[in-house]
Amino acid sequence: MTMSETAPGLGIHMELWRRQPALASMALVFLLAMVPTLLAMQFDIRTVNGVNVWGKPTKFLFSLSVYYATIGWYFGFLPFAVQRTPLARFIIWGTIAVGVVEILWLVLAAVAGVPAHFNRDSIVWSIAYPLAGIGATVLLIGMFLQALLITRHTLPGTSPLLRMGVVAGTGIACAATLLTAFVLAGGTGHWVGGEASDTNGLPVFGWSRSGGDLRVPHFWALHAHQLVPLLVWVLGEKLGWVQSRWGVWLIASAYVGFVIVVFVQALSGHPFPFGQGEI
Amino acid sequence: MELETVFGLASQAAMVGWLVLAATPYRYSVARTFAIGVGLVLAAVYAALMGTFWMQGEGGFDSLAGVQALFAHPGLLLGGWIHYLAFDLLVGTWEREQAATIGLSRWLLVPCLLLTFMFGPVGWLLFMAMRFVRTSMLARTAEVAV
Repeated sequence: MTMSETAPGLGIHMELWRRQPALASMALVFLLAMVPTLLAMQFDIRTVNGVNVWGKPTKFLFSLSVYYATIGWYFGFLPFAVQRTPLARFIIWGTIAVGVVEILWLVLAAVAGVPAHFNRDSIVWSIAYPLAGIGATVLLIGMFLQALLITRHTLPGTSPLLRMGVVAGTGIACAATLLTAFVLAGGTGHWVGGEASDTNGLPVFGWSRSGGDLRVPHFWALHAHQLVPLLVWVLGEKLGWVQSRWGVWLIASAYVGFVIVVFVQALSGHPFPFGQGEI
Repeated sequence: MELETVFGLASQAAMVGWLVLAATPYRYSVARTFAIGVGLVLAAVYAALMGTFWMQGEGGFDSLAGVQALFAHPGLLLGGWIHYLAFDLLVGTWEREQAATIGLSRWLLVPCLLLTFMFGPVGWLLFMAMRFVRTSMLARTAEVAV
């Protein structure tokens, strides 16, 4: 009897661990670290931008966990020996170090009850924010370098279309995230018109429902990393509709089109997914 | 969540952990896993309390008056209490583990656990004394056997 027959979650984790143990354990640690931050949300009444101060560390723990799980999973497209090269070590340990520092920054901001992003109140916070931006760039570089490795090495038995999907998804994520993040960081906040508060935002995400929100295109840009390969896997491996490289190109192009649409939507002050902005 | 509720839940969780440690034979390793699990939960609650209330506290660790002022805040006082609960239980878990390794009778372990539960360091001192006696006996026996 295999693990996955007893508990699917455990089975997936064991497979992730087999692909890349350090990233698999980090993904689990960050997931479990959400327990204290979720508990703190029950105790703490302080808010930043109208939402609980612990909301942001919780969301980032989750998204970094997803990030580690993703690049950990994609190491499965490479021969195991590649993991021992200096480049792969940098991808693994560089992104882990940066993620830990990033979470530390967000937790300290939550403890202090102040905003983390766009905080220019004191020297320390105004230095920390751009440093966090550099950290985020390292995360992008990490996934970009991994995609490069995947183009260079082939592990026999892996689906070529899925490999292509991973490379395309990572490429789209890197390019589109750089673009959206720079527009985001260039401003003073992520709202374009509408109410400047997360209180009435979209559930879980907090995205504005009264105006444009630059976090929307940032989110969809970044998650091309998972969603493009996922689409290729579902449409190709599961449903068998995508059988050629052209199909993967089509999926990738459609996804880029979608990101452009939500980016223009946010820039022109309209909420996601539907509705008219109140400018 | 009300701090009083958190206090009640945390104390009950620790209590169950202690009972499991004291009442189960050494061969039930699940007792250790369970007690460590309770310790993990308490530690998470502690972290959340500190994260929430740390900035509201007056005083600090530099003087007795400072510590007193710190614990005047109910949230930090509860944090401090859960710190006791968690660390005492983990010391108890360690005592049980050691006792099993050196083959100390459970009848001797239980008073150590009880004292560690009630008066932390006193129970640990008693256990260290018992462990010292037991290991010197074992060492002597080993010497004779050689």
